[in-house]
Amino acid sequence: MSLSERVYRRLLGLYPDAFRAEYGEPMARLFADQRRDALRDGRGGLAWLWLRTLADLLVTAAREHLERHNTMRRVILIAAPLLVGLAIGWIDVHNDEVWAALLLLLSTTFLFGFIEPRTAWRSGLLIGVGIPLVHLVVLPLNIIRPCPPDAVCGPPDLLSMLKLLLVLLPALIGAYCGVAARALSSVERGDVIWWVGSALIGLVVGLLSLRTRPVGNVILVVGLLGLMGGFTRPSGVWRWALPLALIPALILGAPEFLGNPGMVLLKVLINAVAPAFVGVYAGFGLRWLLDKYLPPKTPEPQPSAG
Amino acid sequence: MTSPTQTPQDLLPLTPAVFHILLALGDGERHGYAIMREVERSTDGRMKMGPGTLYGTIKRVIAAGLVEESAERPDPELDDERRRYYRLTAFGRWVASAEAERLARLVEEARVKRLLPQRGEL
Repeated sequence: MSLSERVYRRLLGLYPDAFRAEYGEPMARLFADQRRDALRDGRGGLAWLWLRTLADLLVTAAREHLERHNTMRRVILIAAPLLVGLAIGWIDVHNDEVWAALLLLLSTTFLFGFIEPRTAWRSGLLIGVGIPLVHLVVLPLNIIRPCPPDAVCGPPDLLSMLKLLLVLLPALIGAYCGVAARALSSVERGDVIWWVGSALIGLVVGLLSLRTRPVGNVILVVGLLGLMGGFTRPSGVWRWALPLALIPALILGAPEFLGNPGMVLLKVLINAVAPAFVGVYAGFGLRWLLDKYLPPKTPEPQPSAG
Repeated sequence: MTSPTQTPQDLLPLTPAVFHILLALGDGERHGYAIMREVERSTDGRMKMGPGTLYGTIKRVIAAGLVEESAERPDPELDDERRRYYRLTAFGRWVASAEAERLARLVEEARVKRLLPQRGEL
């Protein structure tokens, strides 16, 4: 066995054990064949082979290691909706604002349904369960608001607990709207549908925002929707981020515009345009990171088909 | 392990490495080195697969049910029995055909847009 072959066999140790056990021997054999071919071109051919092989080895060894992290991707996709649900529950309890919580609930479950349509039911459930959990844990302990002297405080009764589970309904509706939007966006006229869809979403957010105070929740919602778009539609995101940003901004700002246009424009910029674009490019970055470091597994087809 | 609703379209477009491997196996079973040589030949030497790329892709296409390892040797007298041969599954052939049709439609589109010479102009 030549020195090159011995070195290459050593380097195969860079691959995960399972991959090396299955393919290490044929890979070493293939390298030996390539070395034999390369030597026909002299020492230069061998040097060129080593350059290509080292680059191949570094890239593919890293890829094989990262592929094992699909479990991590699954864990993230379970932990993230639960954390989002808890966050919405916290905002809900803290602000005592039903519309804001509903808006957040719908937009976040929509986001998860869109990103992972196959697990929409799970995201909806996890996010929906987060809100009652926070209510059941935070309220009885009086963490946020001390019990007023003349009020009766304590753990919620069974009926209140059951009522809290009603949030599962909008959570699942949001998730399956996300699934439907994903299916629509993959048809031939997907870009047009995305543009019209973002304008409609902007309209709904803007109208609901009129009933939602404080405006901080609108920022969060617009930012989250932007995140969804940047994640799922990385090319040309700015085009459809514009209606998403401007329509709620116009609805919120128009009534006050004649009174103080400069201040309204500033508010619009801070409350809608900026979060939409920050969200869009955050989603773009998140997608890039997930695809690069936690790539999904190759789909497994039906063997008997065809 | 497999999804009962999977169709070739679910796997398209294929990556260049996957399509070239399926193409190399289109006319019969081959071992790794022969696949690599066939890919080099069909791309005029522009695509050279290293061992990691070749066997990493083979691992994925086997997991996807497109390729399987063959138990038989085409001619054991002439070949090293330690070599592992691979062949297309029926589904793999179906997927490769669907990808080829997709690419053919793109080429036709390029002709319509005059990015390629028309058929009679060659």
